[in-house]
Formats: sequence, structure tokens, C-alpha cells
Amino acid sequence: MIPKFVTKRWMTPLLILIAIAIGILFYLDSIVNSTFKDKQWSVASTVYARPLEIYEGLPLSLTDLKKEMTLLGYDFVGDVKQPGQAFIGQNQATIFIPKFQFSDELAPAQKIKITLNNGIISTLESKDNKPLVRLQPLVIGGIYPSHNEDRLLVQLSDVPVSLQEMLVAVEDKDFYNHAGISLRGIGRAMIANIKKGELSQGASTLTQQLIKNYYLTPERTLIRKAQEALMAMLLELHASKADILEGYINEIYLGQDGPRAIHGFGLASQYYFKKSLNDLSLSQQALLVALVRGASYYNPWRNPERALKRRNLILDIAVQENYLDASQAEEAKKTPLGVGERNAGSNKRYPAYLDLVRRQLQNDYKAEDLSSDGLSIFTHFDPLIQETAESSLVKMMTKQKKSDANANLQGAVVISQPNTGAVTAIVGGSDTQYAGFNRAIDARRQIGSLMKPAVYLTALEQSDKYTLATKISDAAYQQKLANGKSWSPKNYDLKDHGDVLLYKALARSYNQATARLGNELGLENILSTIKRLGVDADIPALPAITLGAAELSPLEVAQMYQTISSGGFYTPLLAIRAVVDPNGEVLTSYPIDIEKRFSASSIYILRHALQAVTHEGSAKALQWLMPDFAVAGKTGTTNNLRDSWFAGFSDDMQAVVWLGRDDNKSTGLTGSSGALRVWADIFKARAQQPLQNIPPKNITINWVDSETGVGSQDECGNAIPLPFVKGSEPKQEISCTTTDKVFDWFRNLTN
Amino acid sequence: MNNYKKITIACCSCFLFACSVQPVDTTPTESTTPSTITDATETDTTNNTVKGNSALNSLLSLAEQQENSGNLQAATGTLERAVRISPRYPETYLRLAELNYRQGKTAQAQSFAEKALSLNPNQALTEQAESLLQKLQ
Repeated sequence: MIPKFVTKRWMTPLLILIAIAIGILFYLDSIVNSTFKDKQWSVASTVYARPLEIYEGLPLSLTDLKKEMTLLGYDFVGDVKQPGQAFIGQNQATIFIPKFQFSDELAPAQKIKITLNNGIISTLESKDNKPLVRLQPLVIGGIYPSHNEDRLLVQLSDVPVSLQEMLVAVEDKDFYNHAGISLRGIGRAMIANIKKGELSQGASTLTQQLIKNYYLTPERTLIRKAQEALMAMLLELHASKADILEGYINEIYLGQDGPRAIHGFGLASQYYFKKSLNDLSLSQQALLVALVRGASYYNPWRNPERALKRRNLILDIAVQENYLDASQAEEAKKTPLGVGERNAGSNKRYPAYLDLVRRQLQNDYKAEDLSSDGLSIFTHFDPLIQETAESSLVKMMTKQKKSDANANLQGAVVISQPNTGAVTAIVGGSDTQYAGFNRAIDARRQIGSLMKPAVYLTALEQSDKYTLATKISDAAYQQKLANGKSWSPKNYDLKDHGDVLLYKALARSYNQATARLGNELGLENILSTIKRLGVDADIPALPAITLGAAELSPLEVAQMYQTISSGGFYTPLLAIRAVVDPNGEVLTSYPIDIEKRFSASSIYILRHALQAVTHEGSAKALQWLMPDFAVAGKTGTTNNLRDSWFAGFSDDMQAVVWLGRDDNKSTGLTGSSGALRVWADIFKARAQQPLQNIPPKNITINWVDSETGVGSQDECGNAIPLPFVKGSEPKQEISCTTTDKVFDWFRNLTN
Repeated sequence: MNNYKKITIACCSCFLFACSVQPVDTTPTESTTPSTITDATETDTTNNTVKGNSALNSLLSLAEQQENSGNLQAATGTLERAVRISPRYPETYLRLAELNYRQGKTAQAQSFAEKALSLNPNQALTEQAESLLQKLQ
């Protein structure tokens, strides 16, 4: 019997204490109960590249096919039996494509056979003779919850029993008998800790480890330990052993892939072996169990010996605990670690492109949904084009570094598909693997002469006043500005070129002629053209914008040129095609969206002049850099050679390349000697369809004198053909008698 | 110029003539202007049509099936897949125009019809696109 005074004195605080304890208990219980039951894990969203579409007639080299398939993690074997395996021969390939949920169909696993002939797929055989088959798309990244956790959820039924047994044998022998905590384990750990004088050893059960990883911070204090034990016991009350084990298997940290944390056995299996959990051998399962104790310490790539030793220990323990036959274990111990290539595929990162994906998603999705709902995000990314873009840019950087160690050259590339607006590749800087400052999107730099097409397009839209043969003056130019100062731009070569044909002033990028023309056209009209081309950024209404004194990012420039490469149709640039939920339901699709902004004839004529840039103008180096391949484009160079630009396109590809320094100092490069070289490298490797500038019906081709623009007979020495809107062509005034028989006859045929 | 070259040029020219929708002058290669000025009629859309022809046709007929069964969203997706494979094939754009028209999206219908016309379609497609544009006005 407790004396009364004691009761009185202690009752109140005791009651308060009990009340607090009960409160805490309820609080912890509610946490355990609600979160564990409702939505247990945030599953990252996966971002996919475009799938490679395979069909007869597709231009594809064996090298590229192999590259793509290596990225996808195909096993190259002699006899193709399983999904994920492939055989590549001299000019043919057999591919067993795994099942994949696309945004528009669930494609079953299927085996296809293709023959390549002269860089073109000549035959495609599949079981049901489909004319068109897609490879599964490459995973190019994910959008992860906090701490960059990534995982692939598995159900316990998908986890090999042997793996479950090894896990229990090694991590928590009493798992199926304890109620959340193991007193035996605690006793053992306490003795060890007292001996050492610090809290170094834990005795966590699987349940406790799960609680610790799932709810708590990793600090090691007694209070936290108590909380963990309490919650573990509560969890055991609410959940079955199977649920807890499944939870553990999905939660536990098993590796680090750059910024991405690999959680759970499902993803770890893919990450280390490129296989699903079900297909792992016993020794591979044991390796994953080994990693639980220290994914970094036992990393099979960095510390293979340690990993092997621990893997074999796991197998031994499993034998000790009677989960495994000794002979089975010995057999498994003989096999090598069996981890896939580290650098093949999964480790390649595309931070600049993912950055664009994230920004486009922000408009439609909340950050927490993206990092928790396990969405599939399908993009237009093309890993083959990206690789070329990266290597071409890096090649230029390396070259510059060689000639000047302090060059510090930076650059960016944006590649898109004309007509569809699909962005296929982005490079954000010289360190392509670094997710830092994304120059393709965030570096706003003066665009120089890249603006000129907007000025000339404004002129060409007034076909009654301006044609490509209109003479304009490139004499010295001076303009009084509103602030009283005067503006007198000079040509790059510091020469005056007198009267020149309009197309030549654009092709050769004459500043004086352009400034004068711009003034004639009126700033308002030019600004409106710029806007219609798709530039949303605020451009100051200053005369100098006609020469590109406006700061745009490479992506904004790409949007502007997209309208020209798409034949006058404004086509918003898109990285994402569709967002699909885990059930294969399309949540959002981003369709091709086009809007006619310019007349077919004015765009046709502008494109013709931009082709002239590559023949006789500032980009004529293309005639030997990539001969016999028609393209159009424009160079840009800013004052002091601070920025080197090239924007151009063929029929199937558009690219904008910028080179410059982050500190805005001189690069020593013009648009032609810098950006154009990178651009040409990319196009040489990747562009397949040369530009076909199709004349609309109201266009006529007429011959004019290349100096005066006066209509001329084609035989005349100085005569060049130029396109005109019908009715605006000059009358033929010059005739001559010399003839070039072949071409004369040639033309007679077509007339 | 030797005979061999002459014959080659003659053959090319016949091809050019045959393909030509509208006669255009050609450009001497020596000229300082782009020699590609008349490329339009040389390879033009026939090139795109041949490339991946069966793949394109299968997508176009799949889209038609989807449209007939009332699944317009799927049909749009299929046509867009076709556009991505061959972005300069006028018929796909015309189908997209019609599909948008059916869904009451007149602005997009008009843009796609204009796009189809801008890609040098054959006579039948031209007429279809023009009649759709007339309906839209």
C-alpha cells in the first residue's frame, strides 16, 4: 500500500505524464497507421526518350542501332530467346523487344528481324507482319521525391523466396516471431555499446529499420531509438509480417547513381543487373542482400572484393539458418558478381533536357505529384542526336582550349524537328553531364545578325515594294535616336558596299544596309514580325534591335527560327509528348499545335535568301563543310566577338548553336568560325533530308542581273535566278547572245 | 562534256520534268545562288512518300479505324505519330485538319489544311484541302 502523502504528491505529475505518454502513443499510432496504409511510397516519375520507330525505308546505320540498343541495355547474344536479348550481324539484326506500356498502346514482347541495306532498313519481319514496330524508349531520368529517392515498387509475390529468406536470416533472424523489437538483439547491442562507450551498434529488427528509414531522421539518440521501438511495435499491431517485409523490400537504400538514390530491391535489381528481380540468380540475390548493410562500402563496382566477401557471407549465413543447402551455396559462391556494365546506359545523364522537361511540366503539374505518383513522361528526346550534339560541342571546346588554355569557352545547342516543334536534344554547357547553369534556356545573350531575317521578312511581306532583287544602299549610315545621341553601325569588314541587292545584304549580313532598311520599314513593324515569329521576350523598341541588340536564349532563338523552318507556321517547341499514369491512362497529351503566321510566298522567298547565306554569304563555308546537302540558316556575331551563333535547318532538323563565355569576354570567334562548325558537325552526322524549298503557286523564278537587279536574259554572264511573287518580278531588259548549251536545253525542257 | 554525263543529265531532266507540278526554271550550278532553287520538284514529296510508305499507310488506316469507331483522341495520336515519322507528308496534315474540323476545332483545322497545301500535295489532296478551307470560311 502506498502511503497517502506519496500518492497526493505524485499523482498529478504522474497523471500528466501518463496523459502525455498516451498522447504521444496516439500521435505515433496515427502516423504509422495513416501513412503506412494509405500511400506508402512516393514513386518517382520516369522520363522517357522517343521510342526508335523501326520500319522499312528508315535511314538507320548499324552503328546507331547498336548504340541505341546498348543504351537500352540489350544483351547481345548468339541465340535470341528472351525479351531484352538481341543479335546484331553484318547487315541484319534480331531483336526481342520487351513488353512496354506506351502512351497509346501496351505493346507485347515481340521478336523482330531487320535487314539493313546501305544505311536503310530494307526489310522488317515480325510475327504479325507489322509494318511499324517501336523499340522500348530509353529512360532518360526521373523526377524524384525529396532526397532524390528512386524506386521501382514490387509486390512480395514478385520477390524470390530465397531472397526473402536470406534477408531475414542476415538482418533479423527472429523476424517472424518478434513483436517489432527483439529483446535478445537489444541485450546484445547494449553490451557491445557499453564496452565501446558509445552508441555504435544497433539491434534493429527489420521492422525497426523500416520505421527508421521511412519516418525518422538518421540521428542516433536514445529518444529516437525509443520512438523507433515504439513505432515498430505499433506497426506490428497494424500490419502483417508480409506487409512489413514487402515494405522493407521497397524502402531500403541500396545504392547511389549520381544524384539518384536507389531504393528497394526492385530498382536495385535493374540498376545492378538490368534484370527484374524474378530473373536474378541466387548469387545475385545474395549480393543485393549484402548491400543492405552498406551500399557504398560494398559497392560491387568500386569495391568488388569486399562485395564478393560479403555476398559469400550472406550465402553462408543462409546455410547456417537452414534456408539453403550447402551445395547450392557453394555453387553460387563460385560465380562472379555478375553486375552489368557500369557506364552502359543508365549512368548517362541528360540534365539540360530534363531541365526543359521539368519546366514544361510545371505548367500543368504540382511538384509533389510529379515526384510521388509514378507517372510516365514521354518526350521527344533523341539520344543519338543528343550524343552527336554533345560531342560536336565538346570537340569545339577542346580545340579552343588547345589554342588558348584560358579560353573558357561555353556553349549551348538546341535541336528540334521542323514542322512538329519536337525538341530532340539540348546541350546546356561544356560539361554536358553537369546539371548546373543551363545556357540553352537561361543564358540570354545578344543575338546579333540572327535577328536580320525578321527585318528582311518584314520587307518581303510587302512584295509590291521589296523583292530579293530590290536595290538597297549599304552606304555609311547614321540615325538620330530619341535621346539625342546618334547611332552609326558599321559593317563587320568596315567597308561600305554601295547599292546591293536585298538578298545579298541579308546573305552577307551587311549591317549598314540592314539598319537603313529597318528604319525604312519602321520599328513597330519589325517588332511585330519578331513577335509573330514566336519571340515572347520583351524586345526594346530601339533601332539597334535590327542588328540584334536584343538578348535571347538559344531556346528562344530556336522558337523564332522554328517558324521559318516550319514554312511560316508558328509551332511551339515541345519536349513532352504525353504524361501517362501508372495504369496506362493518358493524363495530358501535348499535341502538335500549328498556326499559320506568314504567307507561303514571303516565307519561301526568305528561306531562299537564307539558303543563299550558305552559298555565297556568311555561312558559305558550308559548301565545303557539308557539300551537296541543301540547308538554310544565318550566322550571328556580336561586338568584340562575344557571341558566336548559328541557326539553321534542313528538312528534318533545326539546330541553334551558341558559343560564348560566361563572363561575356571575347571568344575570338565569329558565327562562321565558331558556332557554324559545331552546327555542321551535327548536321553532317544526323541530318538526313536536305532542304526542299517548295515554291508556292504564286511564285515565279526570273533571271536578274546580280549587280543591278534588272531583269536579264538567263544567258548573260551576270544573270542569276531569283524567286518573285508573281507580278513583282522585274521586266527583262538585258539580253545577250552567249549561251551555255546544256542549261539552255535543260530549261527548254521544263518550260 | 562527255556523252555519259549528257545522258545522265538527260535522264535526270526527264525525271524532273515528269515530277514537275509546275514548271520552274533551273539554276546553273556555277551560279552564286543556291543550286537548290528548284529542288522542290526534283525529289519533293515523292521522296517522303516512298520513305516508310507502308509504315505511313498503316498509321493512316489505323487512324481511320480509330476515327470511325469514335475514338478521336486516339486517331489524333496516331496521326501525330505519322507526322513525326514523315513531317512533310501532306496527307497526314489533311487528315488532322479533318479530324479537328469534326471536333469543332476550326482554327486548328484551318492551320492543318493550310499546312497540307504548303507541302505540295497532289491534285486530289489539294482539292480536298481547299474544299475544307472553304467550309471553314
